[in-house]
This record gives sequence, structure tokens and C-alpha cells, in this order.
Amino acid sequence: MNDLEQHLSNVLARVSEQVDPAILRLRNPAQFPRQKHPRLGTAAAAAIGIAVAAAVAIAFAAPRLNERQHAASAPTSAPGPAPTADPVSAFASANTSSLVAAAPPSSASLSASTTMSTSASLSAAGPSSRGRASAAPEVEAALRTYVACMRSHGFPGETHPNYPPRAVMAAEDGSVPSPGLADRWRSASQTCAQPYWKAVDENLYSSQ
Amino acid sequence: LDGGISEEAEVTYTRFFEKGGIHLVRLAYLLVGDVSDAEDLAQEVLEELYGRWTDVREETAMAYARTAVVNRSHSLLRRRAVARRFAPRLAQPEQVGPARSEDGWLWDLVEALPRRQREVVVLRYWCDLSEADIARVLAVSSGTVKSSAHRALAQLAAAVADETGGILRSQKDVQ
Repeated sequence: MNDLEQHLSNVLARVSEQVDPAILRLRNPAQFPRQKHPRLGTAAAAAIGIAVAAAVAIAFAAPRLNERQHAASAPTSAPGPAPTADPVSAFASANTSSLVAAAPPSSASLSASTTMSTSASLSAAGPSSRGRASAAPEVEAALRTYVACMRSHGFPGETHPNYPPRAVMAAEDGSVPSPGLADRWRSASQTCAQPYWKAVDENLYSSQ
Repeated sequence: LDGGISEEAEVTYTRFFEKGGIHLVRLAYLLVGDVSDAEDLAQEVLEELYGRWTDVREETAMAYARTAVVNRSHSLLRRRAVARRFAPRLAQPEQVGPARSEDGWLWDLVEALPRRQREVVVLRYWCDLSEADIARVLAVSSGTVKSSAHRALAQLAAAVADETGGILRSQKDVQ
């Protein structure tokens, strides 16, 4: 290693050490609560989504409630809920099903949209995917395309652009000698992974 | 995974996380030049790796995680390039990173290198990987690694020879 290379090595070491572990917020996925979403922030997002959905439901329900109250207080009112001066108790006594129906577009879809893509992708991933990074549907679809493409190249089973199958890993680390296997996998993976990386580009970082 | 990862695997993963987490963030930082982005990138890789931990041998986990960081850094840098192309008039957010050291000018030169050359430099002189290992991480041939390293060093040497290092810095400013 010549002087420049040595200097370069020292500079890179010093620059990298300026990333202080004390200020990082890295979370160990192995310590995420079981049966919870892999990112802690998602729980807060879900709570916000529910709260917003409830607020919108009330906002849409209020005018209808006022109409009912107005109709009930009119001299020729048709049979309906008993009129009450207290809007809170009126709201409580109102027909719940009509309130739900009156909350457009729907509290569920609203909740899904306000909790951003994370909750949608997590629900797609399901509770059993503890510890996995959430992925948009397009990314999941691209990953399935990748798997199918790899199968056509002679690599069946679950696989991922970043992580070769067990046999390839064994060939790479030399525990099971398989000449050329790792190179063939890498070559096929590079070809098949293009749509996946495109999908990651378009979805992953745009959701952040 | 189905919550079925064994306790032993959790222990080995945690050991890997504690030992390798900061290494991955630093690698990502050297590649993307922003601490926040680097941390997010490393976190994603660590989560993804945890999901596949039962398929990964602890001895080779760092190699795979390193590859994943490099691959993901490509996506991030592409996004940045697109953002720069389509929003040239918008002020770019100031990069959040550590303060520049005395060697900052050389680091500036490394940051100004083309992506592939920068990756080779970081993997060679920071990760201390061999040419063959770098070729594996970048999914290129050893010859490509060799030529990229040669070009990068030639460029850096020229800048170092120039006392001020102003040539490359002015090139970066133009970009």
C-alpha cells in the first residue's frame, strides 16, 4: 500500500468514525414486540389513522344529527329519536349504523390512506412476517416476478436479490464445493433483479 | 418466519446486530454521504436480514448485509439524481452529516468520484476487501474492480499532487 492509499485508508476511517453510535437510533429487529408491526412508528401511525377516521365520522355525522334534532323539534315531526338539548347525549343516542354509513368515503379506507403506505404494506405482509421490512404491493409483485425468473434460470424456491439460496451460500463460502454455481446465480440474479430494483426505486423511497 | 425463529437464532442475530450494525451504518454513510439516509438504509437491511436469518450463516452474514447496503445505496443515489434532474430550481436539502475533519478535502474528492469508483475505494480502503470480494459485492468482474480502483487512485493522486486540490473541487462545484 503506497502513501496515498494509506492516507486514503486513514481518512476513510476517521470520516466513518464521525458517525457516532451514541446518536444512532438503530433498532434490533429481534427485539421488536411479537405480533406487532416491525417498526415501532407504525403503531403510532395506526393510532393516528383511527383517531382521524373517528373525527371524520363525527364531522360527517354532526349535520345529519342536527337535521334529526331539527326534525324532532318541529311541530309536525315524524317519529324518530327523542329530542334532546344536549348534543353529546344526542350523539350517543343516535342510530350508530346510520352514522357509520354516513361517514364517506369510509372510515376503513380513510384509515388506510391516513396511516400511509406502511400500514397497508404491513397488513399485506400479515402478522406472521415479524421482523421483515415492509414492502409495497408493487415491490412484492416484483419480487414474485424475480422468483419466477430465477426459477426459469434453474434456481427454484424462495430467493431474493440480496440473499442467495442456501446452496449458493454454501458454494460461496466453500462449505459445499459447487464450481460455477455462485457465478451462475449471480449472473441470473443480476438479470432477473432489474424489475425488482426498479420497483424498489419507485416505491420504497417514495413512501418515506 | 412466523415468529418461529429459535432463541438461539435470536441470540446469534443480536450478536451480529450489536457487532455489525454500526459497521453497516458507517459503510452506508461512506457510500451515500448522509447520516440519516445511511441509518435508514442500514435499518432496512438489518430488518430484511433478520427475516432471512435462518437461511444465513453467521460467518457470511456481513458479506450479504454489505452487498445489500451497496445495492440499496444505488437506489437512493438514483433517486437523488432524479430529484436533482427534475427539481433543479428547488434548494437541495443540506446534507446532514458529521462535521468535516482536517482531511475533509480528500473526503470531498472521494465523494466527487463516480459511484462505482467511490464504492471500490470504500470497499477496498475502508472495508479492506480483496478485489475478488469487491467484485462479488458489486457483481462485476475483478477486471472492472481493478480498472475502477486504478482510475480512482489516479484521479485522487492528481488532486493530491495539486497542492490546493482545486481542480477536482471546481469540477464538483460545476456538477
